[in-house]
Amino acid sequence: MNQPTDMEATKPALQQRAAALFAESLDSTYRHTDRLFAVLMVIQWLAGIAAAVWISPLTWIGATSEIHWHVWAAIFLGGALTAFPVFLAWKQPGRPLTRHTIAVAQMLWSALLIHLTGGRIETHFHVFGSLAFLAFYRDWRVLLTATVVVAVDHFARGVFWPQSVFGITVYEPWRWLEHAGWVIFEDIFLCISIRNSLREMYEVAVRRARLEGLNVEVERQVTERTAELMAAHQELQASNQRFRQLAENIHEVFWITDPVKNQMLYISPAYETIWGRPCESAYQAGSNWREAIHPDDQSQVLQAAAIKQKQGEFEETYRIIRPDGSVRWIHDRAFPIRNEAGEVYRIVGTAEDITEHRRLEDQLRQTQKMKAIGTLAGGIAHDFNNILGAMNGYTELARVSIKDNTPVGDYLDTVLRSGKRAADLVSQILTFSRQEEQKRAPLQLQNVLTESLALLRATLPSTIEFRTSLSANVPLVLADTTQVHQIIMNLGTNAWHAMKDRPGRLEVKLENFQVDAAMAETHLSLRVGQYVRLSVSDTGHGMNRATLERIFEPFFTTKEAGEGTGLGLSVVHGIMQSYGGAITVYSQPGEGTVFHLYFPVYRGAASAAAIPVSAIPTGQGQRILFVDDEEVLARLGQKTLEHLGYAVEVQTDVLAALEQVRANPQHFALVITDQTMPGMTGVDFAKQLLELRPDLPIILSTGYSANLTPERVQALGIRGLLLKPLTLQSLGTIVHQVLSTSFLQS
Amino acid sequence: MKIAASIWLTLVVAALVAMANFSNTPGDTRAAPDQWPAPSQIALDSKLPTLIMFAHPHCPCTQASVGELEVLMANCPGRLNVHVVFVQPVGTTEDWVKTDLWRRVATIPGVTLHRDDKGVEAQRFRAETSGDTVLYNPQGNLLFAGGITISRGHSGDNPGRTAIETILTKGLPSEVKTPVFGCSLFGTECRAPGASSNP
Repeated sequence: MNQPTDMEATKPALQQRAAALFAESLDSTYRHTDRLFAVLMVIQWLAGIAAAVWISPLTWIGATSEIHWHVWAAIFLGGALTAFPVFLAWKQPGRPLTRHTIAVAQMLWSALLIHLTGGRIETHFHVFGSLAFLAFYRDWRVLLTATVVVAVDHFARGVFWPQSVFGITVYEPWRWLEHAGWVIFEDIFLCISIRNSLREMYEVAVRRARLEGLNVEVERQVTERTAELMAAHQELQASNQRFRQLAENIHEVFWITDPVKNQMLYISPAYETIWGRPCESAYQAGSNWREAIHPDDQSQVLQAAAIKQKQGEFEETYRIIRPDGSVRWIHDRAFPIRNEAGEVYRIVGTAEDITEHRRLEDQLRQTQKMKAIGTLAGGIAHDFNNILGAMNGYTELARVSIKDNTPVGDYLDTVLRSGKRAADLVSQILTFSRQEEQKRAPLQLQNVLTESLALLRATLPSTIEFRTSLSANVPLVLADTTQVHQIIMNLGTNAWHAMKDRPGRLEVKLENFQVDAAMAETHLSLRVGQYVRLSVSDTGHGMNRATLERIFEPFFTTKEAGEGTGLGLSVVHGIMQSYGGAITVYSQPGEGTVFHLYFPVYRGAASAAAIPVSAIPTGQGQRILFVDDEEVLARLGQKTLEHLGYAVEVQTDVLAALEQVRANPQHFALVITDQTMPGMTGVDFAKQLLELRPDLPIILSTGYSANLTPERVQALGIRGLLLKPLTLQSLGTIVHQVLSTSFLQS
Repeated sequence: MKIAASIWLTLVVAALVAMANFSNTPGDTRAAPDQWPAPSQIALDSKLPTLIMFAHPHCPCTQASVGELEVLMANCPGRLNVHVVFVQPVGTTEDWVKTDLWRRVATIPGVTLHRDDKGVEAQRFRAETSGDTVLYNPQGNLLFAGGITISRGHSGDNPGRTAIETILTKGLPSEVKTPVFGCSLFGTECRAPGASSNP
């Protein structure tokens, strides 16, 4: 089935439009001709007056004269014939009434002019000229009107004044038709001309309508295309904006290069932040990028770029040197973009500043290393602690069995001093590995520091200037007084050693410090919040990077043999870690060192003052069951307690001990048990004991305290936690304390 | 607006009718003497009919009469003796008479011009209106009296000229009279009672 074409579909519309344009054109013709006639008739009027004045200005009666009536007729009748048609042409141009009135007036003007010119035959041409002029209207009806006027005029004159028009005195009925016939003769040609003219006008209107239709179509298509282009343009702009928002706000550098021209096409503003160079420099010369690469990494990166970029495998980590000399680590990746032929014509890439990431990785690595070292050292120290416990314990027992001022007594005193030193060393290792019991309490650091610094000042030579700045407004921190002393002494001693060869300055500062998000991000041990910062700085020889990386490792020391154990800073590090704080160090060779120690602020209430140590309390024969899988330690405990006045039974097998209690739960006033034993842990043993006798006082003894805190063991119903190595003081005190409490409770 | 157009048409048609009516109203005439007046200073041609046209020197309508006279003379060459008498009213000078009309007539071959001081000749022939024309045969008998235009100042075929041409060519025995259209030759003081003063 044939579909109607567009032209066919729009044919009625085209015809309508053509008809409208034709009507519009005709109306324009009517109006235009009306205006022409208006002008003509005024001129005609003036010409009529001039003719009358010229031809017959005066009428005479003998020697007297007056204005000829032709003059008056020209003025007034001519004026009347002119005024109304001109008025209509002015007010109602284009109306049928206007042009028909003009036709009537023009024909009557012919009659008037013929009169005014004395009936000159030439003036009759005015009729034919006027008809031709009226044909300008391209309206045959106007010619008809004019012809009717002529015919009626001749008819009337033929009837009333035949001699005036036909030169005869007798009326001839059809004579007027002869005259009208000549007018009609002209009318025929004029009508043919009008018809042709109208046809041409219509054809022009049709062409114009068609052209308009084409214009409308073209305009529609242009509008449509323009809208599409606008939409595409807007989408492109939005896309550009999204790209720019992305490229200009990410922290990574986003770049596009032309590998053929070796030219930078785009580089995001992050380049300026990371490279410290303006983007323009990258556009100006591709070599700018290469020049920034660290000399040690340059060959590797450039080689990889040349080979791998086009393969899409370029992923390099390298260093750059910023204009200020600082070094940044960059992780750079690139991807090729291929054209339809598969040729690489663009390379896009991202470059990320991973300096901070690497620093944190190093920090983490260091932390993990320290933790591993701590675990290792703690394990060794624990075993050594047990051995040392037996040695020192029996030596103490031996010493109390020997009178003073005897050689054996002196020997035993020497053994005891060495044993204590060894115990201190173990204690320090355990502190570093956070396996030593802590006696943390809310402290006002300023008070503790004042005391410690006084001691430190006394030990420092006078060549060292000592400055302190301790803010009194720092909040409480949760710390162990002894450990704070240890920190100050360790750091102070280190500073002294760093300034040993020359005069220097040691400065200790205590202040409030707010850790912000940026700092928390770069220090794994710190959280956002308030800290108390203790800074210890010296003007000593400082340290290089290699030294700085290892100073917190145990047994690492730059001191000469005999000057230090290498445990000082490890211990400080361990203490700060156990506090949930942190220690940082800043040092440059030759420019001194600054240690910053961050103590978390304590949010609870202040504790009572530390309980002073009194003389070792003794027992009154209470029965105690001492359980330890190591017989040596078990016996040591037995001997020590018996020395203090208790009745002690020993078990090295925990299951046997359990059976013994089960057999008679009320038999013992107290059970002291080791935590780590084969068959059953001290905690589990305690639980079973408490099931047998809930009010049985139990003390748990252990070399580790990482997982067993006093709070935890108390929650289990255990009355006390005793850390190894056991001493007469510690054992006597806790046993007395537990028994006293139990007595009071019972 | 159609009503206004109708009123306008009525008025202008009425004015044109009035004008036509007026144009076709002849001037006053008196019967010319049947016999050539003896006192006339104009000589009666003894062989040819003698035609005398009385004219007002300033009458615009007489231009048409002179024009018809020219046609007449062209149509009937050598058949008549023509005189044109320009009336010079009392109180006017000779120059007043010698107008364009005078000079035009003077150029017509075979026409004898006369200046009629105080209108003596005109009164002899009882002419009242400019353009008044009389035709006498050689015997002095009146053959024609009246105007030779169809209306006031209107050129073209007219009964007067046709009659004269017929008389001259066919010798009609009877006397013919036609209306005269033109200015009055005389003022009130010298005009006969009841005469019209309008052209």
